Amino acid sequence: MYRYPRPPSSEITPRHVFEQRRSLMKGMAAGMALGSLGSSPALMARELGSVTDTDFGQDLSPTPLEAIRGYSNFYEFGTAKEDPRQHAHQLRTDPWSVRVEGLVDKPGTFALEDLISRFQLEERIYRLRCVEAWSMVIPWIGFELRQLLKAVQPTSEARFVVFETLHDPEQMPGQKKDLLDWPYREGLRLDEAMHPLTLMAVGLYGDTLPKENGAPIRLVVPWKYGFKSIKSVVRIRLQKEQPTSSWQAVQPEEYGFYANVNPNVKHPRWHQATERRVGETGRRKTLMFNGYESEVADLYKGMDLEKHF
Amino acid sequence: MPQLTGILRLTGLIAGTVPLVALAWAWESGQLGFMASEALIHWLGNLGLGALLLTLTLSPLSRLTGSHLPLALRRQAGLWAFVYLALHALAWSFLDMGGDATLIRSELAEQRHLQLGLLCLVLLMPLALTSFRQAREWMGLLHWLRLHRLVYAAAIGGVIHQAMVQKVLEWPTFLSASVLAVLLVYRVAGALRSRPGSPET
Repeated sequence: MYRYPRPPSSEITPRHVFEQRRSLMKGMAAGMALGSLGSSPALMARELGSVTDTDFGQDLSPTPLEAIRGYSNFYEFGTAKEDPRQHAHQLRTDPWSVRVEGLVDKPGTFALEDLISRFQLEERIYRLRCVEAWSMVIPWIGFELRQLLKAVQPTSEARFVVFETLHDPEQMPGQKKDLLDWPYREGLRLDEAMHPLTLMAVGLYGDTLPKENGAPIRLVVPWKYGFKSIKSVVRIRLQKEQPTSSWQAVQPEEYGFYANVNPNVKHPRWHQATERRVGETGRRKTLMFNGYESEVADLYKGMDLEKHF
Repeated sequence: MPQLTGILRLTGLIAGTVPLVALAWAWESGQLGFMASEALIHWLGNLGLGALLLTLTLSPLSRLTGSHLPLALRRQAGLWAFVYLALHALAWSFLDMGGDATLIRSELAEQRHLQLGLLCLVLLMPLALTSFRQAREWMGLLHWLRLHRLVYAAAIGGVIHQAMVQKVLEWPTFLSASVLAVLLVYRVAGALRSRPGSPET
């Protein structure tokens, strides 16, 4: 059974201390570039309240915020890496709610504010490995998805969890192009979704999520390729059948349902044994399950990972 | 019109140099984004393929306009294409692969788009080496023309390589594929009308 350090409540940092520490870290991590950025009113519109400052990933040095915001795949706003930063301002994140439905005893529509106040937010510094062989380290803020799933009480029939991004071509101009079968869909096996590492993120770097990073709420599954971590989620559905994710539908031979980070399983387009960490020169070795092997390997015991890629 | 061709060739020299200088400046000043090497590699590849396709349009352009002027640029455009594509391959080897020979070998062994890209570059090498007038005279025009038809194979391979690299097909591929398709139709139609192997100028 996987465990990670959970600090006693006496160690939970008061918000003002946390913010001071965060801004100090931001300054160190991103240098002076951040000074000119400041905190935009849009980012500060929604308060995150108290955030537990876990020790998770403290050994990793986070990628500068500017790089996280300026280099991302979010095809709803265009296919170039800088497109989301340029176009995501069109997204309206307030009000926002998430519909949870399907094979659950207590389906419901949850306002974002209610999710934030109801579940304990934590900071988790995770590696993010894109299938395109680049990676980052991101200090997320979020709650464990399993908390939400427990609240809606999955029935005994439920096996898979399906997520959907907002579908509104007016706000997300990339959806006017026929690149993917919109809305973007992703799925997890229920046990993957219930894993303590699986996060619903509502912030990063001590603040609410930038729109280009999937505001106001997104999935983060750190041991899977980045495309599994679906952004701007409006719907979560529990079902019996294994779903087909968006990329899997386009290129089933390239993008599998599991999409676990695995340096030993080859991809026809990108080299998966090593990766380039954004902001670094040279390459790093890609770690099995993106470095979370001891935590998640049990989920795939006995499975042929070449076949279930 | 020797003066006009001279001006045209000088213009070609400037047109080929400016993007390189701009890329070098963008690289130095951090204008290429958070993954500068990737951006540089894509720019060099797209510009190189663009120059290659431009090279192929010059001779049909000359026929259609009845002017010899476009031909004055043909060798230069072809050499620029080779320069950009060779830099593209070098940038990939040293910036993306970090100059790691083992890694480069294993990548080339596995990735089809890399094999194709390398093949196209290799095809262009004898063309670049024999692009000078002395080589053409030494080889004889007929052999020279036959050899230089390889440029079509390289262009077709290059467009396929470009398409394979993209996760979803987008305008660079649509643009280069359309240009190539028009050129091929023009060439095939021309070959059907005249005897194959006849000198084309």
